[in-house]
Amino acid sequence: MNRLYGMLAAVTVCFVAFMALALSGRNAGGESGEDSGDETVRGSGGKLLARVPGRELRLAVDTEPQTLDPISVVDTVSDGVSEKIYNRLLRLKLNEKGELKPGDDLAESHTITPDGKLYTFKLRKGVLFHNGREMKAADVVYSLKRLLSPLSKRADLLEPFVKGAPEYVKANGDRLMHDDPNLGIRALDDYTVQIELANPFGPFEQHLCTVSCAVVPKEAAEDPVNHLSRVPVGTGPFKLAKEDWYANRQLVLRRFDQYFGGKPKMEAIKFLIYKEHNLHLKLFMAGQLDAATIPQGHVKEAEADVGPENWIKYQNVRTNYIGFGMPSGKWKNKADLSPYGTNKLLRQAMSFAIDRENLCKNVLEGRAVPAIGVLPPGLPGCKESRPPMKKDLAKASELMKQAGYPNGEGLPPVTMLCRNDPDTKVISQAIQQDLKSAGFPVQLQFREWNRFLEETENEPAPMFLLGWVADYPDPDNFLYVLFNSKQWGSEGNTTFYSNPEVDRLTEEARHVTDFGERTKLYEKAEDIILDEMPWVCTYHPLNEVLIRKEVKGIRENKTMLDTGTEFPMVEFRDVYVATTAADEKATALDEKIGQGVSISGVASMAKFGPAGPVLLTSDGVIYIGGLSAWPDGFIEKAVAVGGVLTEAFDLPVYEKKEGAPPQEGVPIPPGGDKHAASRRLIVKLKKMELLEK
Amino acid sequence: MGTYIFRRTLQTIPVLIGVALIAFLLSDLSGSPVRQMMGPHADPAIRKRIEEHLGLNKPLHERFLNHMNNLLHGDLGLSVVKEGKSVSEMIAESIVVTLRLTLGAIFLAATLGVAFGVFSAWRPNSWIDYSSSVFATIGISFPAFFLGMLLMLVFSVKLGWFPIGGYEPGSLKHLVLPCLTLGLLSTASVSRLTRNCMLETMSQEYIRSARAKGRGNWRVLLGHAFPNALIPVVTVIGNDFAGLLSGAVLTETVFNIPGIGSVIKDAIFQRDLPVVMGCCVVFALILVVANIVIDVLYAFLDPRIRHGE
Amino acid sequence: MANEQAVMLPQPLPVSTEPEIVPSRAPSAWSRLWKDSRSMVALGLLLFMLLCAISANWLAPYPYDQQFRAHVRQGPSAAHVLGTDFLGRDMLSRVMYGARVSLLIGISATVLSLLIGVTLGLSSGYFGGATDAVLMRLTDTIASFPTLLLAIAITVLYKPTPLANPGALITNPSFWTLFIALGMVGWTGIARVVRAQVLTVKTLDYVTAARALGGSNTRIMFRHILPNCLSPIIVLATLAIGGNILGEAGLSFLGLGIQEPFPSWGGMLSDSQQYFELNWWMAVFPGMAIVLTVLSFNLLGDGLRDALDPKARK
Repeated sequence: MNRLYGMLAAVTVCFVAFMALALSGRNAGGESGEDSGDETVRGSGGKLLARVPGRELRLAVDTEPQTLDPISVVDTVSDGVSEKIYNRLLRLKLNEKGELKPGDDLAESHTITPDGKLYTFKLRKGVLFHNGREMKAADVVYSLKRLLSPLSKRADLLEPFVKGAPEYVKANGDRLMHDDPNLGIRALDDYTVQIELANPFGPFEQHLCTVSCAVVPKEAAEDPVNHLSRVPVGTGPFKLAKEDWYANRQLVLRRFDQYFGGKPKMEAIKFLIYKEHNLHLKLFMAGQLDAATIPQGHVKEAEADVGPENWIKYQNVRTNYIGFGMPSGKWKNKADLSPYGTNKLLRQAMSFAIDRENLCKNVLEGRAVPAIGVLPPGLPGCKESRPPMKKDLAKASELMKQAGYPNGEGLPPVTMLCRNDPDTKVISQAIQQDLKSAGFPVQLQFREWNRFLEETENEPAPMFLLGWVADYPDPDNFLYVLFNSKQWGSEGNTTFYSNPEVDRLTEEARHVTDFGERTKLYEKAEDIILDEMPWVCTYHPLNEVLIRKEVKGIRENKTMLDTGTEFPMVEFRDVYVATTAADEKATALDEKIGQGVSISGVASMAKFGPAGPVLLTSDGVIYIGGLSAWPDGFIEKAVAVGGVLTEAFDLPVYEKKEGAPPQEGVPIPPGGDKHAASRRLIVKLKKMELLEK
Repeated sequence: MGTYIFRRTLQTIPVLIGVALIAFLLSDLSGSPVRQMMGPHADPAIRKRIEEHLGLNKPLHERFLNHMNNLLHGDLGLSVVKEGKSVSEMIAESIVVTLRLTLGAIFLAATLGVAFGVFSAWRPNSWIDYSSSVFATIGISFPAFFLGMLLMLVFSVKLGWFPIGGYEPGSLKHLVLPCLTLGLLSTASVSRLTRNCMLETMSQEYIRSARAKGRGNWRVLLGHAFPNALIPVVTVIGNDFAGLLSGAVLTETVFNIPGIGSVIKDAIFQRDLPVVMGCCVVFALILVVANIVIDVLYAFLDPRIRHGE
Repeated sequence: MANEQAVMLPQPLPVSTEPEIVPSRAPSAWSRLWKDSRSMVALGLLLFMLLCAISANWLAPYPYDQQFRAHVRQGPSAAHVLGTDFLGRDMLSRVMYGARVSLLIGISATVLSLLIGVTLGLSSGYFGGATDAVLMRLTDTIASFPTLLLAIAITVLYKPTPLANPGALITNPSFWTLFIALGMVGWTGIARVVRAQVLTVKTLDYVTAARALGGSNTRIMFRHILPNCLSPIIVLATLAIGGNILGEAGLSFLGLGIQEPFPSWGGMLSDSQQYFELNWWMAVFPGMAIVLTVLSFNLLGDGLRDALDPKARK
């Protein structure tokens, strides 16, 4: 038996050695800064490795997109991928103030009649689908009608608003679609589309910006072999070929050269499917991903290893909350009798019992801010002056006493229903602890997502933990969808809240078109909601995304919508990955296109292309617009100019052949990118200054 | 032999039908896939429309018979959740991956396990024997995912020798750690069994008499004990094959491999009925075929079984 | 999974056509077991685990759900011998309470499997004919399902009542879900082995005699045949407990196991996955607990098999 003990000892030693190796310091592995050159790069042992070479943008998603057919897209990953493949009439764009607002996409311009009911869109000409055909108004009408077909999951974007839509839907029956002259979606001619609403609806433009309203060609949508959900055909800057979707592994979107907005700078976008979320960070550190979100617990590590040039922080338009089932006299379960539902003082007391600051700082590692209300900061229309909700045990116990439960005596136990995912597990337990120490006997129950939805859709659960992220940046998407009594159940009002004043305010705000007016109405509604507290709002998450510094063309944004692909929503045409030194150089100015800049260089005259003054800078030749010639004494001297930076693609380009004499223009190798080479930067002059005398 | 195979094949038909029925019931009774597909902001009218269009509202027996009819014609249908994706395509793509994993693990188990077992039987009660037996016993007590986590931590993240999970069709690198994880546990049971069986065989009469006749230890071992020990080893590998195919679920989760285990798991969570049914039936089919093959092997190796039950 | 399979469908006893008659051998079996040191070690470990499970309320240094927010994710220290988890809860206490969950599930699920498996195996072997054919096909059908996936499917199927109060572990709906899922998946191996035993035993003389004397079928099954099948059943049961503990860990890892706040070893492993390379103690200690417990059951099972089997193994 000595042998046996000896063996056990030996095994223990081996195990300990193994563990010691496993737990050893984080310096084993590659050195940072060196190019490994190997495609399948290994783990980094903790340091940020150099980016694995390649011109494509590499992003990770945690599930495979369910479908790429716009009318079926409901989950964030499908949305994020489809967004780059399709265009719609309008899209959210950054305006001068840095706000996301609906702007023109496929429509060149659009007008709305003063009564808010008639929208007329003038389409761009020469927009091509991925299959080569030109897009016309008939395609837009087809796509929108398709959104009303029985297979569509987002018919609710159009059905309640467009004139004649409910009747159209009912008449559809089994057919995919049919002709109906009463339907308020019409093509007036090849390039004009008109949409007529039954009643004015303020956020309608926002609806048109969603991916579900994308324009698809009829022949692809009705292709019996290649379903649109698997083989998408759109007009977007990137396209997906059938063979580029490797099931459950990755999707590769390739550049669509004839994109109407200009050839995209990036050659491809690769979406890698990694279900384990915490692998994303490891892959990012190993240089295999260009963007990753930081899983909980790793913020300090990331801060230590990843330089600030690789971070982007942005506010997510999201509010997390504890919902309470509101009584209405109809509920067979206990929500009607539960004091938590009937007595608003208890809910207010609960709100004072939660230490949001501690939660945000310690548990969420600073990646959230305490809630200020239902509407999150960063959402247009949010009253950002509302104070963040604070912990106040004195007030809490005072309220509890007023409610008739001093120090929690007599309070029945209540179960808080939670989603079964890792983040919720952490937060729910932290919140439960806070509530328990204030005297609220809260228990937790976890449910898988499907079950959770089932349990909250027909009757309210007495208490549950959830969050809401905006589909589009408008208060309607919060206050109407979540608190109007018409939206009970699965449509969004999971607390089954019903307040006639709130109903009236949110309904009215839908029909007003002036945003300032609407904001006032929403403010009033939110005030009522914050007093009655069907929601105890907890926090607003901040998103932090690690994006490699080699990725260019991203502009910081005040409100970023969750695109599900860990990448902020930007005009993807302009995003690209800098892989050469020249790329690196050209970047600084590229970011500033459309903005005011101040550049210095040596004044000179153009050698080719449009004649006129130019500035020779370390970033290349910058043309000066709005000036026919330099004033006397400027040429060959150091000059600083200020103005708005723009670009144009009109330089003469020629293919340089071996031994041929140089011609006028920009030389490129045979087969080179003519479009990119013809680009020039222009400063629309506002002021200039001679730097040296 | 022919009748034996034929008989066994006949016996498996009710099994396959039973599997299809149970898979159908389990998936159907756990709810509709549409609710979850539609996300948090779901219009109940739209949901009803879609469910009707997909035929989810027809009575239970009608739907079951419909599915069985399709199955018999070889049509596994389209996935409900992954719109437009053919179930047979999903199975074909993913089962290749899992089979690679499983075969790699079996290869490991067969070679390493048998080698350990033979060695232990050669020198019973030696330190090799003891250490193998200890490792073996620990091996079958280890949760597969824990082992996977440990291996990934040490070899992928810290040392960087292998990629951090994931899978690429031609690549061997991605398979090493998962196969090790799956296979080490099988190795343990195979080695124990080989050792025990060989020892038992060797202690039997006819071996002793062979020894008495003067045959060397080595030859006795390999010539007589070994083939007899293979019988139960083949059984274990056969049993483990099923376990490996299904146990791959956890390994596939840890290493992020798109095999059929993940496909089924996701389909169960998402209530994707056609996928669940299709995968279960294919699974059962593979198992059944594997069992028949093993039984045939059995019959070859042991004449006692050939003519009886 | 491989090890689950190896344990729940245990290695077939080497093909042997000799009947295993085990008339009362109690004294010698016990003494053999006693002498086998590895079984004793295993038994000792198990008793220790049992002690932890039963008296966790008194032995554990802290309540399993008390959060020390200031000491989140700290390594082993004097105050917290095994460290703290991501919410600052003491790992040692959680591991001790976790023993309760794992042992309870493991044992109860095995009891269920035994009930089903033994009944089916007995009936199948004793009655033979059509009963045998039907029951064996049923067994084959269930056995053809990938076990873990079947357990997942059953767990997903279960619709817990929304307001069920989590309360004690026994009344927790997730406990019952696991109990049923694991129990209903693991009986096939037991049924097959019992049936094989019955087939050999039922031809023995004293069984024929009992029949001739006119005993009822049930009586014969339970009084004469069953006692002779006990040894393999006991061995199988012991190994099955280990297998069920692994099964529970696997299901918890996938998020389907015992729900918070009850600590379960598999659940702790699952939660610690994303922190693993930074905070190893959150995963290693529950993992080792699982390994040690299952190991003990396996060693005990081996020891029992050796002790109860008249043929010497070594």
